[in-house]
Amino acid sequence: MQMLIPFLVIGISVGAVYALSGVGLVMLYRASGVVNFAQGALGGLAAMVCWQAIELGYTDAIGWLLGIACATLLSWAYGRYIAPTLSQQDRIVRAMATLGLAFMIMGMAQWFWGDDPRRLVLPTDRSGLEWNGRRLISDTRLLALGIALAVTVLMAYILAKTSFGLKMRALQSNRMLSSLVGVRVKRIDTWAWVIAGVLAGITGLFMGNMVRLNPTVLTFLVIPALAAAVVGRMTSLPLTVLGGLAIGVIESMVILVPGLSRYGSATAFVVAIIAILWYQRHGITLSRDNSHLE
Amino acid sequence: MIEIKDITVQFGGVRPIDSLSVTLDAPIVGLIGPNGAGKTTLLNVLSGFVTPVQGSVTVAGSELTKVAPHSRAKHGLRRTFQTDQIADDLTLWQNVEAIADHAHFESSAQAEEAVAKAIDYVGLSHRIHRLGGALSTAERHLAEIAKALIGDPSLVMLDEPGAGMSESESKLLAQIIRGIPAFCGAQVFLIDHDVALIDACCEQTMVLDFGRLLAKGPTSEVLNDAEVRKAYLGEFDELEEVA
Amino acid sequence: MAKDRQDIPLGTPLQRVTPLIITFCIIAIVGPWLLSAYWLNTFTTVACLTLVSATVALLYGQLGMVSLTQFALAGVGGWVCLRVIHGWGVPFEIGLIAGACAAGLFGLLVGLPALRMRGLYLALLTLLVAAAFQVVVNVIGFPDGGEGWTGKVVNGQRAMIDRPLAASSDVAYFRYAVIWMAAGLIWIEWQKVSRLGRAWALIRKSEAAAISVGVSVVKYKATAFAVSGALAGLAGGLIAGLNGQLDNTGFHTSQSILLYALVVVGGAYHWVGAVIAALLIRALPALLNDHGVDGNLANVFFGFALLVSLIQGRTGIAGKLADFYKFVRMSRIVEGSVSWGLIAILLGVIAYALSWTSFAGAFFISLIALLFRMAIPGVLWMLLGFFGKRTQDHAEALEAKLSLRLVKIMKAMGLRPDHRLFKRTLNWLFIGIFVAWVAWGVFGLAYLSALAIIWGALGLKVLWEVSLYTYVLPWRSQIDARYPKPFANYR
Repeated sequence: MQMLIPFLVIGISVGAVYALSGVGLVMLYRASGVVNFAQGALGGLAAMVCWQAIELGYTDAIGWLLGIACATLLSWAYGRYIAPTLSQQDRIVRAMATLGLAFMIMGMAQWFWGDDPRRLVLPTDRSGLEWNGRRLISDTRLLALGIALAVTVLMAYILAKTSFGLKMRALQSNRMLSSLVGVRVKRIDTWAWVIAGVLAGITGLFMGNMVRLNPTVLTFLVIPALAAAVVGRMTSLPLTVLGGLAIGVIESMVILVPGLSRYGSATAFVVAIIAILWYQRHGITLSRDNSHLE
Repeated sequence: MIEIKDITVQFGGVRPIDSLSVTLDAPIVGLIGPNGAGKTTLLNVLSGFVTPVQGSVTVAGSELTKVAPHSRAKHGLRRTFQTDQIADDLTLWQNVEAIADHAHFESSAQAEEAVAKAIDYVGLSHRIHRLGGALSTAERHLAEIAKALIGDPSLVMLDEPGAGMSESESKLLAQIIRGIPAFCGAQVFLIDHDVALIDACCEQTMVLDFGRLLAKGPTSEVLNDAEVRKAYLGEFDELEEVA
Repeated sequence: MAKDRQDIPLGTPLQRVTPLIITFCIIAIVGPWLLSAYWLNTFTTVACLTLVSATVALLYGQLGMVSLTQFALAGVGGWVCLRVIHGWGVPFEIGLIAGACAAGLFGLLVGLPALRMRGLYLALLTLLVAAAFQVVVNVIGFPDGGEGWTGKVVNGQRAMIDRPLAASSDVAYFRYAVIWMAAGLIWIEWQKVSRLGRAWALIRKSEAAAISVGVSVVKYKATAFAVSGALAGLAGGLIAGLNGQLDNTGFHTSQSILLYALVVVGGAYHWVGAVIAALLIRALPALLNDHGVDGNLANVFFGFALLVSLIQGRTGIAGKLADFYKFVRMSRIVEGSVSWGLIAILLGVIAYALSWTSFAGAFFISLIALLFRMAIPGVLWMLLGFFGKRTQDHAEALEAKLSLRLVKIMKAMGLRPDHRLFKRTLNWLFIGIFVAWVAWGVFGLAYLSALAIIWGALGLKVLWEVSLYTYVLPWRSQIDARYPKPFANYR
């Protein structure tokens, strides 16, 4: 049992980052109906920009802010200028368009930074929680867990209690009717993209630190985040967080199972596939996709 | 002949159709009713998309309540939809042929003949090579009717075929609908808001209001029924008085 | 009342696949003459990828389903093909077919839960499957002659599979792959105008309407999944046969996603789109690498192109081309092929005589230049459209203004004014720069000689139009009277 605890702890912290990314995806989907495949690429950009800033001699804090700002700015620009041109299209088309954004960001980052091995070191890496005289978990991972939980609670609060959240939910159920009763659809949409950008930036920094600092790898880490969001049926924040944590923990624990250890990175996909099939068998619709009735 | 026995449909707390029993035996039957009266729901029950919580439906002698939607075509049921279902990137001929593919013909020559006859009947022979996307609204509605006439149907259900048509087009439509029983021997079940069209086509008309049968009988009687006028047509009278 | 537009019959399936057959026959025969060994192998891969693209296009264009797993299915096909051949030493074709069957079954398995699923979730599900497949292949690896179920050699020489007996040379294998690919594409094209395609059209339009006329939606969707899986698996086997082995880095999830993106860019409704997609995914990075340009920049271009095509309404490059050719008359085609052929032969002879490059190279470059003469304005217009209708309007106004000024100058100089001169010059510049760059990469032709050939071809075409116009006119009307616009209903 003692042996399990480090794996459990690491799993939870990685899962928390998946969850955070998943929450970003769900927020954006609820508000604007877009599944953002560029979430990972935006995060990757944030991490690379942050690394570059620190490399150039700026203080860490400026690096983080710059990274997150870059992701947010790009996300905002896409949401403000490109997403509206597609707003009349099917959800599937709007989702696939973000793939275009993802490829553009990823290509630029690969071209600029290449595949050299790098590390993004955060000051919180150095300290951590000790247990039985061994480092159990670094402060970075604790921070990730804390931020993930805090952001989820904050987002849930915004959705449930504020007028902004109310408008977001209105958009989710019917965009056209919402605009008729005076919700400023574009403005809410743009804000949702900004929020998604900030969350993408934060998760990008953590992923760059915990997984690997490489634009391609970080871009495709959107898939585990999507898996978490799928567990949450693209709508439920608590389920998304649970999904993310579960994926992280299983992924980390599988290493201990002989014969399966090398398949660990498939966990997210398998969990999400099972979730999709289970939801389908039990007749639970995946999110409120009314597009076929429109 | 359509026999509806004690049908009830329930969506959560709403009952769009509430223990409805009616027998429709005229060759062309009309169905009218205000918005939300359950017209389209009744059509969906007949085509199997909505399963009633109780009751049974019999069309032309075969009991259909338990038959899966895609098998109902085999029993001779055809329907059109409020939004027309003409594929933009197939020609008119292909659009109709697609239906013939799934009706039972002995040879492809027979199928082709049936397609040609149906298109000719609605008067679109000169349009067979035109892509669906290039047809006018009226032509698309007529093409929908042609699709419903393929393969010896026993019941043709038309859901607002006259929507968006001009007066002259509507007259042509009425003429075509009136001829359907003679053309292929099918009974016609016509839903429309256009009372003039119903009046021009149907021998028998039923009126639904809040899921219940308000009236049924010869069209002229039904349309002059005081209760029907109050529930449905009353609005028009008031408008006329104002005008 | 306006005169009714004449509708042109759609043609039988045979008529519709004829252009395909002719095109691929020409490619199979002429291709090996034109290409160096490196490029021949690249184009063999392109042929295999065309088949994979066609399966993506089949699902997306015919049924509106986004499958992000087709590349993984090609991987399944390749895996089984290698395993069967290594395990039992059967002939290549049997391995190929075994791979296709396995991939078809696997595709069906992925598709089954998706049959009742709406667009977005199908895309997500297939993406997850592709990602899971990548992990599995990374761990297991492709069989290379070893023992056991995985067929993996632990320590020792990796074995290769033999190519089919009839196609052991690179040239023969290129033709072999093109034949398989063409067969797949022809089958798909044939189905599009047959019973299967009509049923798919009904389902695409509305599942409810399809059900109400007795179409079994499950059956037809399942058929599409199984067939597209099998064809993708076939392509995977062909790639395995080309190299004798497969590399697990070749079947990354990103490739599956990229392939979908490029099919949208190329055009999902037309077989040309599949060819364009395969060229973009394989030949463009090769071309860039050849020139020492970072291949990653291709990703930036692909992303941009995907956005443009989605915003521009989903028919892609092939759709734009089809729109363009809709209005082309038969006489223009006849005249075009005669004039293009003569010009290309003339330039080929000249280039050969001056020993700039081979006859075939110059012939090919001239043809490409003449082709791009028609395509470049449309492509640029499309790219402008990305920035909105207003940008297009501005560009048009600017062009008109400059043209007008040029005409004034020409008049002042006492020349015969040409309203299209400005546009044409711009066009020639673009074509010259772009095609010369391609020629430099593929044929190793010096930039200046390439420019000479390209502009020579364009100039000769103008000369042809100007000098022969009066003679050709009666022929034109005669041909047009007998044969209408051949591509009017073609998409």
